[in-house]
Amino acid sequence: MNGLTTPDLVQMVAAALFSVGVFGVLSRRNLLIVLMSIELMLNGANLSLVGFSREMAHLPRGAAEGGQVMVLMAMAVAAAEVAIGLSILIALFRHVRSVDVDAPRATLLRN
Amino acid sequence: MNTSMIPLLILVPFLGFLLNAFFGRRLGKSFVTCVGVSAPLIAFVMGAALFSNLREIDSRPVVQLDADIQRRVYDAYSGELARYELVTVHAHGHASQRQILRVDLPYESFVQDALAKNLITQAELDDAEHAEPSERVIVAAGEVAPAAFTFTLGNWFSVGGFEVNFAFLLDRISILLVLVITGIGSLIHIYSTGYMGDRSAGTFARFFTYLNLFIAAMLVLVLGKDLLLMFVGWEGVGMCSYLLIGFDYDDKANAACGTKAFVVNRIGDLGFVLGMLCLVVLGRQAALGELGDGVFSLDVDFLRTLVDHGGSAAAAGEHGHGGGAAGMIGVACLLLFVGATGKSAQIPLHIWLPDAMAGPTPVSALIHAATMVTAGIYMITRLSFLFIDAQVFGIPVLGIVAVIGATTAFCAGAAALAQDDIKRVLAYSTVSQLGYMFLGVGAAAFGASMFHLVTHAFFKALLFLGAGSVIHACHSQSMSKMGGLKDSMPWTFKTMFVGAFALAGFPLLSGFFSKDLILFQVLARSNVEGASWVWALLYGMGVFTAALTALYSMRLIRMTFYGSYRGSGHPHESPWVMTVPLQVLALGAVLASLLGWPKFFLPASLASWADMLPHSLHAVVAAGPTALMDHDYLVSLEVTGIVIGAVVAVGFCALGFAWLWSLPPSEIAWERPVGWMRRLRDFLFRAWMYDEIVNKRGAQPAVKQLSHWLWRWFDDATLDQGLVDGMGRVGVELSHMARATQTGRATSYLRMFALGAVVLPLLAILATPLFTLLTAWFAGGGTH
Repeated sequence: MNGLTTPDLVQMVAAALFSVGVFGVLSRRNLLIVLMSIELMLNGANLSLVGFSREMAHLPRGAAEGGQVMVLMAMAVAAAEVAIGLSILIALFRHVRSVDVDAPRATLLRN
Repeated sequence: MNTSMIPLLILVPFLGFLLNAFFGRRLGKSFVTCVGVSAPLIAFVMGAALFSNLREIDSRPVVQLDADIQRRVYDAYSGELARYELVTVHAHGHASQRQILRVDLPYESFVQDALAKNLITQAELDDAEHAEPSERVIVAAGEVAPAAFTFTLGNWFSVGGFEVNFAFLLDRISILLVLVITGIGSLIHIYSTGYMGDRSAGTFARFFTYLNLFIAAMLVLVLGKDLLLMFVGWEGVGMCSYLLIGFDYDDKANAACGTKAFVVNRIGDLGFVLGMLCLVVLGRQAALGELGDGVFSLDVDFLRTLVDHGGSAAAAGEHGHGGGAAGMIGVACLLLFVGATGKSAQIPLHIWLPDAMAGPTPVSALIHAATMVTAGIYMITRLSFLFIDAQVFGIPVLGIVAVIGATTAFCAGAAALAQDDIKRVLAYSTVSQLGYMFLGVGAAAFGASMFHLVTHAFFKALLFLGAGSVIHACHSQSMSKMGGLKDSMPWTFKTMFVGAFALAGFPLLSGFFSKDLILFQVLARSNVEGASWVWALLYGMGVFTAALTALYSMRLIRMTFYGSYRGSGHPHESPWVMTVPLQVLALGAVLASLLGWPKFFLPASLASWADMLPHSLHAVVAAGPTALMDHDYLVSLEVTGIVIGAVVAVGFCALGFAWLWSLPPSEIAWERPVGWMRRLRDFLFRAWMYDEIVNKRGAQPAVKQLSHWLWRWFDDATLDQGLVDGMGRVGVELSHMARATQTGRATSYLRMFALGAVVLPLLAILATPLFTLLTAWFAGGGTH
């Protein structure tokens, strides 16, 4: 691990989190876990932003705070998204009695 | 002389065409009559004015001077009274081109004036009087080629040195045709107002629209100086012919006849186009090579220099190059002759003319007897310098022309003998007479052929119009439904009688001198070295055909006018608008012979009248091999020919009349022969079965087979199934592939999205270094 600084490690963790999220979205068939994986991706991105913000702390006022503001906003939006996403999930479950993304009638995105 | 009258000459009938086409139906018959008839009449008057102008110029003395004296004289008269012209000077039996200065002054006053102004010295004048004709400074009138007007309206197109102009040439050949077209055309127009008088106003207007357009197109054909412009007229008359044959298109048979004429003419026209193409190729070679200026055209003057050049190159033996050009000229002439056989209804393309009789009778008279069908003869005469020495594989093209002409004359003459339809008799007779003209052209007797063209235009137009008058009265074209009309239709009878005898070549009538002049030239040709037995045979065929001509003419008169009437109704004489043109044409059919009475036939005081028309054309057409023959021998041959012609004509007219006369008057029993006579008659009635065998059994099935094959393999298999359906199939297959990606499953879409999210940024990052790498690699590869 020579040569790797703390910010590098932070970014690597963020990328790992994001990739785990992508993997979850692509591989899991349970819509609940897909949503959770999306949250993981969001949090990966958030971590990346916070990391960069910390790295820019020596710059004049305003440069570093942008990243943190962005993260706060992303968390707020993610909360809203989860609310909507879960309600769609429940509606879908009531409709087709399943939360499987590949379930035949449920999620075919064509006519 | 204002040469701009030449395009006006064409414009007048064209204007008539436009007026009749756009206003004829609305403004009624009297308007159409006025416009339709006055258009050719005005054109005729203009043609006559141009003709007298040409004659007047020819009667002026022509002064030919050294180049520097010419310059002096030209400057002195400041170009107003003096014009440069390129003329052909005839001396010692050969022609040469020379630039002359034509001064518009009487000879005496010019000499006086020129001496007074020191333009020419007395010594130069004396030299002129004593020098050899080819060296002379002053040339007497008659030694130079006759006057001709050219008028260029402008450039049509020029592509890569190939120049085509709207150029018109009015010389002795074309003015002759102009007078025939507009003169006889006018008479036929007048006649048509009577013949078509009972039609509706719209039909009447349509008829005169086409007729005026025909006159305009025909004038373009004869006046066009450029071969391509001539072809415009050539196609124009073909179109008018098609429109007028199928004039009564309600009857499908008429429309079919029009189509037949059009299609057969197209075959000939293809030959014409290919012939022109050969000349273009040849002209291009010459213009880029020895002629030098890189500009070439199908202009008659250019073609003449081309031939002169090719001839001189061949004479000099330039490594076979000139020989190649001469061979090309031969091929071009043969192809042009194919065009002529189509337009002038010669074997093997003659089959359309008898069917062209489906058109109204004035159309048959004007287009299919007097004018359009002679276009082939006119074209060859116009290009006589091209045809005269043309050879294909050592066979002279003119020899082929003569053989085709004589064969056609004989076959069609025999077929005319067995027809029942009066118009078909005349149609086959026309084919036969055109065959005579081609025989004459083939014997290089261009003047004689043009003379026969003129006389034939008179008597054949007369016969057709007379037949129209008879048909008008009997409401039938079948001669077996006629008979005994000489009392009820006196003028028609008298005029047609004259016309039939002129056609039969009865002595002193017009057909006699013109036909016998052609036959005499063929006879003279058989006395020239080279294939003389062929020419003797052709002469024999010509004389035999003359006998046939006399027989079928007499049969026509006998069946139509003598005996008792076999049809229905009571035929009456036609109105005066129809009989007056007949009378004028009958007068013409008699008097046209005056244009070419042979010399030995006339007293010395009238010698200038001898051979007037053929002789006047000698200076503008190429001279054949008979021109060099001994004069006295030629005269003796001519007397022999005339006597034979007279004996044959009179004998067979009498024979035919006596034979027909001896048969029962009320019956047409001679039309129902028995045994082999019957078979022969049927054979001739079907015109040697040519149409049945060559057209219906040969050409039509072949074309049908070919078109079926083309439809099956080219249209259906290649175009429809191959290209059109194939294009669709490719689209369907591609869309099948694309459709597989649209699964509708969110995960597969996401998978693609993720793939894109990885690949596209990678591409964006790697594009620049990859590009740099590749260019470096290619640049390196280029230098190594």
